[in-house]
Amino acid sequence: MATPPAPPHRRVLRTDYLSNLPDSLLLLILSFLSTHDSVRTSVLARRWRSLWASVPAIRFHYEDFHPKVVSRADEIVQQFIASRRDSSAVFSLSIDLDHLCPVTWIDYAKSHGAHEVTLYLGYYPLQTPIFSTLFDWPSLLTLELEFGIGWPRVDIPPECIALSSLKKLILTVGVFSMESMRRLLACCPNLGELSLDVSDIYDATIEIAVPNLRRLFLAGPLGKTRINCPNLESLCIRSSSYLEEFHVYAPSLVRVHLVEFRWCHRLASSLCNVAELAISLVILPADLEPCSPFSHMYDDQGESLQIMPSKSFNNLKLVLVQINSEIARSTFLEMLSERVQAWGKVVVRMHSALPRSVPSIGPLRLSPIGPIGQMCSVSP
Amino acid sequence: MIKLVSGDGAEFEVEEEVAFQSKIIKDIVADADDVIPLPTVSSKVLIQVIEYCRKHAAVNSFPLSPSSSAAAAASSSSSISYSKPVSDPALRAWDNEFVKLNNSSLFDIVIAANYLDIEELVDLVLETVADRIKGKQAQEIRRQFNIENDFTPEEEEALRRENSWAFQNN
Repeated sequence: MATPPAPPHRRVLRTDYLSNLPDSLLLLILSFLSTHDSVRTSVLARRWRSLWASVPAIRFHYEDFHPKVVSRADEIVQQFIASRRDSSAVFSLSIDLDHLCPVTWIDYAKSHGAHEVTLYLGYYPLQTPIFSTLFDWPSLLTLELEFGIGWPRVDIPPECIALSSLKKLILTVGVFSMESMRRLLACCPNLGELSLDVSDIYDATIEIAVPNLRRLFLAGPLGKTRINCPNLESLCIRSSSYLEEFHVYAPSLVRVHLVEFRWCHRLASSLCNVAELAISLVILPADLEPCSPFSHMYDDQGESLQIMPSKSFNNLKLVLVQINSEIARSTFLEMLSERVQAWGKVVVRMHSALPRSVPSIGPLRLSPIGPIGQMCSVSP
Repeated sequence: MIKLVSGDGAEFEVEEEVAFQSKIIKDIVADADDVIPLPTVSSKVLIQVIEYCRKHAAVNSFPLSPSSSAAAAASSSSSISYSKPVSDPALRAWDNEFVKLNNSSLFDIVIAANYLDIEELVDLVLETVADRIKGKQAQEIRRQFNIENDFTPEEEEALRRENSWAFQNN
């Protein structure tokens, strides 16, 4: 009996669905990747050879560079920009280098239509003029800035701010004077989402008055804070301080997330109408004993509820709890239940999938207001 | 109710708000009848797409998610993952389960979602595909997606040299 012919190699029979996608979708896939990863796809096959040159997102991260070449990172970025297909749009620029970030890169992104910018800015004395380019960008929708150490206080000249389309701003505040911050916010009439990390500011009064703001995330000492946002719907606060002078005017507030927070009389009174309340106290260990050194922390937490009158939550419908310690969790829920008019109708969800390590409360990389699980993720 | 007809002739009745997750269907319904033939979409894929739309329609109309209006405004930017407008952690978890599919199913869905113009679903799937590429060597990516390397070794080497900075590994 003749043996049947050997089957052809299996891989030949399988279809390459990925390469069959249209360019537009492949470019979108590549735009989710770092520029290093997207350039590396050039060697997969001919189909992929020059796609990288048209990817509409430029994402360079410090850790993607080999230690041997990282000192030449700015030269490499420059070379990459020069070898992109010039007619291809850039919608997103994200650069996180412990290096110079020349104005020319920002200008390149701006002239190619970018509307999302994420920058980590190490301090170099020559870099200050960057702000007159960065803040004069009427088509920009999203801006995220993080600063390296060593920056002096910078004033933004009022005449250079033009951010009339900006919808989302994520900022570590230390570098700008509060006066500049106030001016900056006043120049963003369409701002809907704001994340401020004020960890480096201890004394200043933080004023946030943005008429169209919907979502606000604040982290830091926040000792003196005034929020005046008539359309604010969602508020997240991460602060280990006592928020003694924390004034909130936000009549549209429906959703509040409190992270590692302590005590705030003023805030508590503006919580009455919220529909969703999320509490994250991940700093408490899961095996917390009633008399452990951490117990004062949830006492403070409880205190903020105790100052609220009984049955004062009128509209509460959803409670998200992220407390690993069972004892703190049940204490919290018990106290909360006494303050809710129709506790039986409230949906309570637990979130316990958290890293074992205790996150620090200090300066953190901000994550935008979003799912509770994301909000609490802190990069190590 | 709107009736969707798959390429293999199966009919699916769905509520307007479910079907309107697709911008194309929304446009069609505005000026025609309510039976919509989708000749290029198989019933297997259409079932999955409807499942996604049903879930997201329910959440988007949930009065407690204040971000859904902001989401609509922000969705013009289609790529950045951290700005994903999913406000509900349960929905995010649901999405993560939804995309636990093999590559060929994912590509079927993304082609249908692209055709139907369901932007959030396109982004969800493409980001999942990107995650399967992230940080991998060329050989691994080729194996995973059955990509045939049609370069000669010399050509491939020349390309690596051209952008050598991207090929140095930590």
